[in-house]
Amino acid sequence: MIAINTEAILETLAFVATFLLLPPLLVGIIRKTKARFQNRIGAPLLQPYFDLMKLMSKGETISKHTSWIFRSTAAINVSLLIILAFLAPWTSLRPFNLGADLFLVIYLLALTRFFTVLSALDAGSAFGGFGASREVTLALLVEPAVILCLAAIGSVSQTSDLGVAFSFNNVSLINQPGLWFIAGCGLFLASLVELSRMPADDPTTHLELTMVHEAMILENSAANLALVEYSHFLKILILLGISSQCLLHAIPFFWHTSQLILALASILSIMILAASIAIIESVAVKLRWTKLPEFIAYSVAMSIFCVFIALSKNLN
Amino acid sequence: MINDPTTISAANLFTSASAIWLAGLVITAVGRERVKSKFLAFLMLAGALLTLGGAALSWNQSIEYNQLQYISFGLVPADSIVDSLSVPFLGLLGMLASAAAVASPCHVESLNSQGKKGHYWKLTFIFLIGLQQVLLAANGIAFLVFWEIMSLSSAGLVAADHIRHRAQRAAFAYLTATRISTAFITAAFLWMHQNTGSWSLSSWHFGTEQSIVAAGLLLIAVCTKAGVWPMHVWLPLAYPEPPGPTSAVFSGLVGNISIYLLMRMLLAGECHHLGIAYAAIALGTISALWGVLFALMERDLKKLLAYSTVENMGIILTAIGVAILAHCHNLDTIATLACAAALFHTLNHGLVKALLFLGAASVERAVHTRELSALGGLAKNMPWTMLCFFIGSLSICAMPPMNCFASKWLVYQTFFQLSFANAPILERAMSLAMVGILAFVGALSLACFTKAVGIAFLGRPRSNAAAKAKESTTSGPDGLILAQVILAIACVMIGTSVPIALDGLAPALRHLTHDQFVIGSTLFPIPQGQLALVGGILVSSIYLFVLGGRSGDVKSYITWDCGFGPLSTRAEETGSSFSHPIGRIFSQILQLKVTTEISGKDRRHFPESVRVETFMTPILETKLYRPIMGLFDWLSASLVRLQTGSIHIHLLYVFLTMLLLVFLGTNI
Amino acid sequence: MILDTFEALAMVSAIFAILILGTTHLRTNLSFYSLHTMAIAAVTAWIANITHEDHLYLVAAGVFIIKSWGIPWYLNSVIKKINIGTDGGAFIAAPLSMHLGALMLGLSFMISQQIPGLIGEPDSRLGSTAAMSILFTGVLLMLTRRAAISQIVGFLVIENGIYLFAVTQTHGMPLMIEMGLLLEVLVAVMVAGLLLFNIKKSFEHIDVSQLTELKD
Repeated sequence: MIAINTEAILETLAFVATFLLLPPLLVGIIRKTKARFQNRIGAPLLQPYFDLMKLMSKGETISKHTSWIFRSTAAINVSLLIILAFLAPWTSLRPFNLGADLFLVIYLLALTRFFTVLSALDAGSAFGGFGASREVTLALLVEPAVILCLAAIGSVSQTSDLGVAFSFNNVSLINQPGLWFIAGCGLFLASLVELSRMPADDPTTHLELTMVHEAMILENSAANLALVEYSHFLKILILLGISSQCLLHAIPFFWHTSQLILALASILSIMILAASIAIIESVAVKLRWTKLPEFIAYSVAMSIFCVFIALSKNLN
Repeated sequence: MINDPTTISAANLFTSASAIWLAGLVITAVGRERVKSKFLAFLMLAGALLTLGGAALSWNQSIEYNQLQYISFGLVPADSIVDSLSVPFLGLLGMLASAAAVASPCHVESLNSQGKKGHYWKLTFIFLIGLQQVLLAANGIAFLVFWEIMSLSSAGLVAADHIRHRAQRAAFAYLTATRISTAFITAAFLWMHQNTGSWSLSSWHFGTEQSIVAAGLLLIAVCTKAGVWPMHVWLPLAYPEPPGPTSAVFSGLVGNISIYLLMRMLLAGECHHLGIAYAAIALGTISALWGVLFALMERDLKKLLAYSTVENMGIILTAIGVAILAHCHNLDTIATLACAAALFHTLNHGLVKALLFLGAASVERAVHTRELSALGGLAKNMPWTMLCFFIGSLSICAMPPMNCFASKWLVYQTFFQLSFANAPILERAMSLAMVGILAFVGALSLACFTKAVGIAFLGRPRSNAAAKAKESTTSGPDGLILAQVILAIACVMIGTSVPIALDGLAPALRHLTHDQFVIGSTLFPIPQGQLALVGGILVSSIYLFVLGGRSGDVKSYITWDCGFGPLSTRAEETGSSFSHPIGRIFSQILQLKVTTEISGKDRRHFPESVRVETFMTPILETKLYRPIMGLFDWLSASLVRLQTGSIHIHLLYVFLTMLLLVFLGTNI
Repeated sequence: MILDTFEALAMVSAIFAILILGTTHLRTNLSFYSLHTMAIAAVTAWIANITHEDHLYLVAAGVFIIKSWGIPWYLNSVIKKINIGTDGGAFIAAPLSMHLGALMLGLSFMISQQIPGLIGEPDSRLGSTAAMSILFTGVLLMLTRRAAISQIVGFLVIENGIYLFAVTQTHGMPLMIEMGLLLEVLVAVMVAGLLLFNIKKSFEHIDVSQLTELKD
């Protein structure tokens, strides 16, 4: 497991530091880039941290109609995403080799959704219901794409352990730039939907009738809201991290390079993906609800291509 | 073949369980209203616990014995066998029967008529005896006899509330389904007897050329009885009908017993027919998709659960199909995984479905309706039911620390490993496609069960009855609640200690995979228990350090109403509106139509009344079954002409039939 | 299986062709078509690079200029003039037809493994796979869409498929034939575009499924 040497300690430290610091920073990058596109200076990069701090010190208001589900969802989701961050291969640094099973990762994400949806229904407001209903619909369409992209990668490496499949030492997966690139694209498109970003949902709007994620967390406030926000930041980190790892694997330069460069590249590529989310949000519009299946279909098509590559790779 | 003391005692335990249930039946029949329901429930519980104990004693070795030696069904005596395959199912039976026994007294006391009480007890005892003996039957004839006893008594349970039209219809549909399935099973058994000359179930092998007919017949029979597409139409009618506590046993075992039959025949009997494997996978897949989609659109809580059974039976059937496929290609690891997936998911699903049906029964008892649109906000008044139903929903959606996640993971893993195994490319393509389809089904079932929990238990009450609901008749939690708690604890326990559970199933797996070397605990490498522990520690520390110490700051207020004043409960999301977006996507399959009527002078800008109606026509019933039923109607109408009423003509018929039989018998 | 550049480019063009199926928004269709043709031009150039047949560079340039810039630009202007942005309604929903197209890619892979006498190693016939898949995609596009513009795009995709097949199998035909084909396509599209104006003028729509009313 963890050998006690300086390298391992350094790796652990670097992992914990990125895992703690990067999530709010990513949102900062997205906001800053968007502001620049709109000819504004924008809030400082670290604004999400300040927002979280401020939320922590506020007084909380809870609807009297809610049950224990609403009160515990935020805490449960944050813990689930912390566990996921230690399991899922969102960066090349993996000091704790815990064995990230593909289906476990997907189902842990589904579990956070289960709680989010229930807490949205808990207060009995119309908006929470809307948001919840839309969330499950989107998840339904995206889920096959995500699982097929990852299963194709796993099938080529003949293991369902993502930690092994995503390791840069894995010989069977090197020389598959096509698979990795298409999987990366598919996963990125899927994460746009899962993270409630632009073509699927507008994270900045406060028109309750059109939003998905914001509608679900309408009743949360103060520390509870801070936890919800933080878990969303973590989700951004993990999903973008997985897509960026796929894209990094597609570049031959990274197949044989040092750990340090890889680690830096993974962090940088996550940031680049965050910036590209901001660019997409600046140039594209939110799609109509009825047009969304068309958008998600592209992600599913990518996953089908991945499956073909995986099947032809293992031709016997 | 009794050889050592433990087996003797195990056999005796099963026999005495049956005897106790039989005694219960006799006492109910003789004693009428003088017998206390607590006493009968105690008998039921004793039988259930004896069954559990017998299963525990005999889990590692098989016993053949002849408890009913004085009964002979003409062709063969009623032999019994307890082998490693029937033990898990006997354990499940014991578990569910004890839960039902715990829940029974409070249900029976709430019944107003004495006739209904007697009806309930008699049928339940017969049903339990039938179930147990089906699992113990060693030969085809005994199996069929007890299968019939089980089917007919359960049909009686479905018709328990037979004054209502709904129950009558359900009972007829269920009876038709059981008739069809028994007919096919009989045909298959006769075919196998013809080929092997033996009635013993264990001597039948499905590896030969001729046996494909029997295998096909069995598949049809099992699909009918388990409720697999397209024979599932009776299931959403019948499953909601049995009275509260028995619905646990009914929903948890009726489908599973037929899966047991399929496993015993095709998996343990070494079926080597690719066609059967493909048929099983195809039917299972369609059934999983169809079931979960209709479950999602359902407005009735118990029907929702019933459709979810269709889904899970489909998933189990696909796993069995892959097991046969892997046998054909000699892929031993995949065959083992598939058998483990099928067996473990069958047991888990039985347990969870029983839990959920008990929860629904508890809701129905408190609110007197199962319509989701009249429920809501029950979490406040029914905390225990809510907690148990929530655990059941988590489990049936295969969420990680629960038992169904382990079995669903095994199903996923089966298909995943097939995708890079040494199999034809089309099968590998199918297996990866199945991974995607299973994910889709999983997402749909998440939608379905968030709907069930969210609409029924959370939010604000949508009717007065829901607002005034009371969890139990007594001050503390009563039997029905206790039964749910037992099953919920069982779910969590299995979920957090999967390796132990799989080790317990290892003998059964060895039986199914023909003595492959199986170590149960290595099949499922994810440390679910530790994950749950870490999760629990994280959640509680977040509670302590982040949310804790600020309870003084928390204000309680109404739900955000946009400043318009008190929010009407009609503004809340209902069950049908929750699932409507998904329904729109699949409107072709669901035959979902929406009509909107707007009236008023200026309809566009100032509508006075808006009326929106959604319709769903069940496509299978109208497009497939109605024509078939029409055909039968027409046939019987034309056969009426044969009946002239003249005695001479009828004698002529007899004579002609005899002539025909003579000709057939002499092979001319 | 290690993809060489030529096969990778051919697959890229096939994938872009399939992505055309995914939307009924005509301008997006055209931009995917443009990308798809660019990949085909790149395939041609790469073959020229391998086989050192310099006239293929000219063909590649011709494909690039005429097919991936000229024709989409012209059709875009037609769309702007007749003022129809999206295809009225597909017979099969766009996402579904894209997934069908993706399945066709798998099917053409299986077919091209079976056909004897094709150029390419038996276990890597991705060039002919891509060509066949593009052909199927074009047919699917023409089958499922109503608007006349989509029919033109479908026709162009089919033409690209045939062209790719020829290029992968023969490693380039004489320059005159290639150029003749290119011009022919250009003329066909011009004529179709002109026809479109007239159809739109006389029927107020470009729904080809309603052309059945014209019989007798």
